[in-house]
Amino acid sequence: MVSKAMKKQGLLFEKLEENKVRCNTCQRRCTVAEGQTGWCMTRVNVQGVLYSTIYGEVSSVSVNPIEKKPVFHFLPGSKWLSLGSLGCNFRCPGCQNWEIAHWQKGPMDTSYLSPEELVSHAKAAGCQGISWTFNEPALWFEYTLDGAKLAKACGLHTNYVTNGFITKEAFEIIAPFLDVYRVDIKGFSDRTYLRIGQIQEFKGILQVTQKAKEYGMHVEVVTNIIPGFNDQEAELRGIASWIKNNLGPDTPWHITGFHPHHKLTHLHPTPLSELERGWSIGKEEGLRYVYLGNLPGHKYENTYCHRCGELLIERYVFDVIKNAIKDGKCPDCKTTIPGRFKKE
Amino acid sequence: MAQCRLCNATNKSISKELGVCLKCIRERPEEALPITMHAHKKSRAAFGLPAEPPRFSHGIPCHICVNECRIPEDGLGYCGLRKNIEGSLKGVSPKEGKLSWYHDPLPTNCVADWVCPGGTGAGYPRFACSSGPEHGYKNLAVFFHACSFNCLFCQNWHFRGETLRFRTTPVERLVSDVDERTSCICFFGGDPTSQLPFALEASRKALEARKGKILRICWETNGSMHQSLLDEMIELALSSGGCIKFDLKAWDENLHIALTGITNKRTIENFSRVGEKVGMRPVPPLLIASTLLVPGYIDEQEIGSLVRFVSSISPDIPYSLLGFYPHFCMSDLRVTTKSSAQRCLEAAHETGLKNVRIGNVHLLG
Repeated sequence: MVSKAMKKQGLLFEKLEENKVRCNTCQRRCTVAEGQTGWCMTRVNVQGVLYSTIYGEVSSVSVNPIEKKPVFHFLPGSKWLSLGSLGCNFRCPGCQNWEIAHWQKGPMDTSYLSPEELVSHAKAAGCQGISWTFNEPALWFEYTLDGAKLAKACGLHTNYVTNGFITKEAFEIIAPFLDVYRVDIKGFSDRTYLRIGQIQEFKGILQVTQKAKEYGMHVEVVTNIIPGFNDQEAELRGIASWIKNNLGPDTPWHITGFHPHHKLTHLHPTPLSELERGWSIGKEEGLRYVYLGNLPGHKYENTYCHRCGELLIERYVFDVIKNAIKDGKCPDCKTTIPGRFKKE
Repeated sequence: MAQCRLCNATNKSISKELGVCLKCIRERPEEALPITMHAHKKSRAAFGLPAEPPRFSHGIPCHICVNECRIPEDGLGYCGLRKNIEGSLKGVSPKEGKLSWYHDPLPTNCVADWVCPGGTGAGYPRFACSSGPEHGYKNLAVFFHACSFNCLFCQNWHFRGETLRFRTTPVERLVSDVDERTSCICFFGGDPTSQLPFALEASRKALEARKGKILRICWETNGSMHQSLLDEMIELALSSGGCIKFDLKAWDENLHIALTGITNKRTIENFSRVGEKVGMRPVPPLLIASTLLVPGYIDEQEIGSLVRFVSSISPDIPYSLLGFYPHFCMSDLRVTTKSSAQRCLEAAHETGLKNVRIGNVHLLG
């Protein structure tokens, strides 16, 4: 059971009549009656006050290269501490982490890790930063905020791996403490988002993502192509063109292959031809850095200079085999490569 | 070379961290300021400083500076010096401060050295030890480890690493270093504003210890303090032969907020308030203005407005235009060029201000 000590008062809620509250952490903006939880099951109304039940409760923690998120243009090959908790505000039927992300009730198989312990673990493990990942970090808002503040004060980088459904006001609070915003754009229509995430409207995701870009965060976008859900040309072209026009042509777009999982075991994996078609759409729309993921050894796992085509970073799954970028520039034509790279 | 995130203009006069160009700050402030404010919050996060002045209705009010923080339980004020612990503000006090200091042989490179007693002998014999530069004497330079602004071009930004350290220094420890060869004390930083109760206490104790001797009390500040504290600063400076050096960062309020994170309203009001007293002691001058010529942001239009304001108070107020060196979050900008400094100087001369000069000439590119 949730111990009382682990509950943390929510930062973003408003009181309504009859001791109800409205949670303003994610764009669902649930109205929660006394004694009830919000849609995500991780926020509970106790006598008219909203509490997070997962503050500091870690379901999974590991040290991985940043490529695993995937993030390709921010300190390639660097080690990051990745951690997540329980719960999600989406219900993607093909979720790869559904055991923790779709947790709804019952005992939590988690361990408490204070923000101070989190930062000291990351430092001790030689990590360059911390990624909040595995489940939706917005649900863990109070904990990720405390951890990110401390991480920044201790010289670590920070990364939100998110579905982007955080509210604008929550994002504004945590934004100064985030370096990287790794956001999923799962489709380009309300219908697709309804089928995948069970949300009514997706434009708020785009608005917050655009804010991240305006604030100078490093933004990378992922789209997992699920056959029959978001593989139509209009969806992919919509995403690619939106990225180009609103985040800029330098924004990396990762198109990843779907593997049958959870409630979608009846589907086939995304065919290679479909992924390559997605890649071509990205390039046609003017994106300079389009990647294919979950295809070990494919040439589009690599980074090529957008100007001269030189192979800059050779990858195999999450490993950097070779990194030829020097002082952030292509060694051949000296073009500045977008992102953040180690200074020589 | 950075790009403005609003108009996509690309040039060497745009700061990547600030994120927007001067034109957009002037013409589209409602879109530009959220972007610049984010840069401020981010820069403060790296030092564990509060992102913005806390304004909790039930917090403890702190009236020392323009930020008028209301500090919640367990929270810090904007400057990072005072924490609300169980209903009272703990941290620095008139008796304990966060600061460091050193002796600087006179004449030194102070913003006012070209008009002050230490650098020129102005006010001799009442306020200066010699009729020319005070060779053989020293300035006690007192550097405070906190600030009420958050200038992204801060030239002394390293103090931020000291603000949250627990160690404080007793006022007596500072005062005991005022010796017989110390002819002036200059409080700067950071900024003296957020530790004015300490600085005023130290000044009074030092003057008491050196009663009858020359000891000028000088201030180098962003001018954001409460007016009652300013009045005490004026009194000490006037009677001791010291000066108050106001760093006017920008005239346009939006530009000021973009660069420093904070409004310039109080600074402008306070400058005028000191200006009312300049006639009481014309030599050495009580009030001196300076502005850092930040490439791409503080241009001749900005200098023209600032100088008109200063000139309207008194055309005799000395004004130093300072060459910029890339620092802190604006380390991607160039140094101020000679031609741009010259244009600013000409703009200043056109207003009729009598004493304007370019400081830090050696930094100009």
